[in-house]
Amino acid sequence: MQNAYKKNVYKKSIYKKNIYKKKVLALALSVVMIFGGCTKKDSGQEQVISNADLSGEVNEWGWVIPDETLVLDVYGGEGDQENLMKDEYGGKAKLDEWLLNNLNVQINWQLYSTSMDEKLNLMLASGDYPAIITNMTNEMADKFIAQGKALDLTEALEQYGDNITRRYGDYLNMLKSEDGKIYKLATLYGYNPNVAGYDFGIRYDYWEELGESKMYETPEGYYEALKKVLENHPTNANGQTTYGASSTNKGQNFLKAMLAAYGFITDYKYDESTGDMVHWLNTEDGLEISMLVNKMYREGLIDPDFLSTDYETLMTKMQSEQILGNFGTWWYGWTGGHQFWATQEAESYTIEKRFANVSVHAEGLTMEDTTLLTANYLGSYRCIITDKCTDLGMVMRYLNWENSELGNFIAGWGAPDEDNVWDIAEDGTWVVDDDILSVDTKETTFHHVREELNGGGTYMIAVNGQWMRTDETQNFDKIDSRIDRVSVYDYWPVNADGSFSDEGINISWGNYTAPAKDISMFNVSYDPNAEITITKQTLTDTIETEWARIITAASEEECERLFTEARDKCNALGLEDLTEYVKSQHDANIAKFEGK
Amino acid sequence: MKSKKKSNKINEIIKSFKTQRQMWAICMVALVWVLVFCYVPMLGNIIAFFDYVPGKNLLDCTFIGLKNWIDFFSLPDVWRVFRNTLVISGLSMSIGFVAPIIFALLLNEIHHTLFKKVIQTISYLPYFISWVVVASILLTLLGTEGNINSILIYFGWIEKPISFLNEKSMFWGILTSSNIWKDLGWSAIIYISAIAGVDQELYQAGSVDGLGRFGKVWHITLPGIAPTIILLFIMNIGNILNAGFEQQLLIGTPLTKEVYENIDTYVYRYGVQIGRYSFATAVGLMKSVIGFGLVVIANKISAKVTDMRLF
Repeated sequence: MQNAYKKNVYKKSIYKKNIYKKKVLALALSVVMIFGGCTKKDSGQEQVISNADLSGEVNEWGWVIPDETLVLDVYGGEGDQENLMKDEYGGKAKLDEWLLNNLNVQINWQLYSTSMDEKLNLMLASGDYPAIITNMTNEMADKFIAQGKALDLTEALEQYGDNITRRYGDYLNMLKSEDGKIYKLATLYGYNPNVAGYDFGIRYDYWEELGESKMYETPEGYYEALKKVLENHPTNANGQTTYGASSTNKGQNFLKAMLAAYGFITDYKYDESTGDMVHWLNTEDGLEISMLVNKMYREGLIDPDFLSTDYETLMTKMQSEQILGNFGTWWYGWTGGHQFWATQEAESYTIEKRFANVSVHAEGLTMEDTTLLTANYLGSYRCIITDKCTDLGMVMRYLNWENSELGNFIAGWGAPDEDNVWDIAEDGTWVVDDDILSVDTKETTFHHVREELNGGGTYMIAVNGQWMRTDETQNFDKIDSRIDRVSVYDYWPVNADGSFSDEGINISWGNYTAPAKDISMFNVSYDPNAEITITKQTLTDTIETEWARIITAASEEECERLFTEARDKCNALGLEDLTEYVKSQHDANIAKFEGK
Repeated sequence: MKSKKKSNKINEIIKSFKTQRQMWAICMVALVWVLVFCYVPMLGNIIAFFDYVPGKNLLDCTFIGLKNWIDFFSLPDVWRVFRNTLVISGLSMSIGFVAPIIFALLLNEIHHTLFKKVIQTISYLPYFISWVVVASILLTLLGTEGNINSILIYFGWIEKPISFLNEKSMFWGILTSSNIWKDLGWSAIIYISAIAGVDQELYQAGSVDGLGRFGKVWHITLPGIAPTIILLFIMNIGNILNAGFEQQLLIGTPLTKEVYENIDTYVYRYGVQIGRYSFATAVGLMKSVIGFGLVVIANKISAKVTDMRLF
């Protein structure tokens, strides 16, 4: 009996142990299933390019209207969604109607006020993102691609992207991933239409007073001119001391402008014959640059508060005529100068009262050697079509249309209309409204009408945002010949001989002769988890501090000592490794561009 | 025996639920909010131990253990950053902690009610001003063409303007002063209400015993608000590694970076800005653990020495 009891107890304990094991196993399986359910879908599904019926006639806009409305959900970046939807002047609604009636396309554009990188990381983590994301950084695009969230566009481009491939030319190769496929496109790519880049600007009316026959052409010439202007105008109307220049980014603008005048490309001197690169800190030019800027500071040409000044403060100082030069960003001279004075002083304003944008070159170099004005064909922003897209073919067809000459122009300037800034004449010319030929009223006659009344620029997904001119990749002969340097945002009225028709613009840009230099091969991307990214961040921080110390050195000797110290410090922190990395990226870009 | 104690405790809790159900109902919303927004997100700290990539399943990310902390302590200048953090928060805790108490005591001595209320209101208005505005005010005051330099030059005390915001030696003082100016009134509120709770009869008794004004403050008011002071101190000590973020970014310049860079600004640049979220989380977790440890230690010391404790 006792044995039977023991046997029974033993059986029960085995049974209980088995139940316990099953419970543990079930729990483990549940946990695995829960986590497993969070993994991405099996990417082994075949990618269907398009289900759309593509037969039909091409309409006047170069588009085959689909039977069903093509709905595009786009995350367009940082911005005010409420303002966009409010559409105060009805421009967005007008463009929406045109897209629906003429293309049978509806675009749902989403903006968020938070940082785009942060939002995208959240989207990645939650898996909640739309079919198209544009205006994202290259690094974020690569993140999406690495996680299989971005669709392979290669085949779709071959089938439907003839305009895109034409307008990109060989630059399209640079968007290829390591597997040779294309998962991203560029946003607002193209040739830089600007006349000016880094600026060594000066108050034109005050420079005229000096009676110089010729504008300065070197940084030293700039220093001399600024010094004389400040001697003639030591205080402004409010009795405040005047200075030649200030900064909104802790003196970095002085450095960037000087490096550009010396032919450096993004901090490096590149020797085309040898393919070598050297950082400015490791060059004698770097010391020369440091000494000159330090001299400017010691002699009172640079605002002593330049390290604490923000954009609004700088604008106030320029507009109140406390800052008489513009050393760095060219358009600061416009917003802080004549664009303000022309509206504020109205009757008494004269066109000579402005900052002239001036290009200079280092001694021994020519203007062609400088990098004051650069062109980065692919720009810094990217567009991807995500795995949430249900019809890649149709989306690619739309993007292809957007990259046609007419589609590009409509995306930037709104649909042609007698109430818009442009229309299509009977002979096919894209004629602009006479009102926009006056530069002084651009804000009201062009920007307001184009953007707010006609929705221009509201939906630019993967469009060429730069110079719409005729060359081997594009043909914009139809654009009204009265305007030039046309982009999706801007234009400049010109005479028949190509010179600017506005006298003020001729003064502003008449002394800027630096040609645009293509620096597309010098694009560098950094993997957040790579050691070199930390090195780069460390060096950026160190150079920012050391540059500030160099500028504010009390004497020439101290400046030279600080420069040498900065050089040694940065080399010890891995500057040469970083230089090697930048060089390798440059070489890789060239190989990609050449299709290797 | 143990299970009997446990069941007694459970019964007590159940009894409390029954007798104070209305209070529990009121608190439940707050408790759920704290649980959802404060405790549940703590689980996210797990990414500190992984090489987390947003969008990737956590189990697909590489487990790296303590590598983020090793990376942090291997960064150049990390000890300088620690020094700055401790100095800035130390100044804030020493001077910044004492100032509201002194202010509350002084305010308590004012008998003119209207004047007292006006001063009190003015004192806590700066609390509502954002650091962006404060930075602009500081620039206007301390810039080379600012008011301070103008006054000093006008009276002939200096010949050339002083660049206050670019002087390393002045940065901590400027930062601490602006912190005190901003928080003084607001922080004093709790002490003012604690002082209001001191029994007035004690002051009368003190007068009878011959205590003067200072005597009453020292022997009556301060001991009366001592529990408040100690409890707030215990809570504040957990913030010893939080030395601010916006003020450094707004007021700091490259010339003062050596003294303003603290853990938060450092991690922002080396973590968040370059997308290393695991790294940023790891340092944040470290700060929280250290802060919590200090609070526990301070609580224990307080319990032993003064018989007062937070928990």
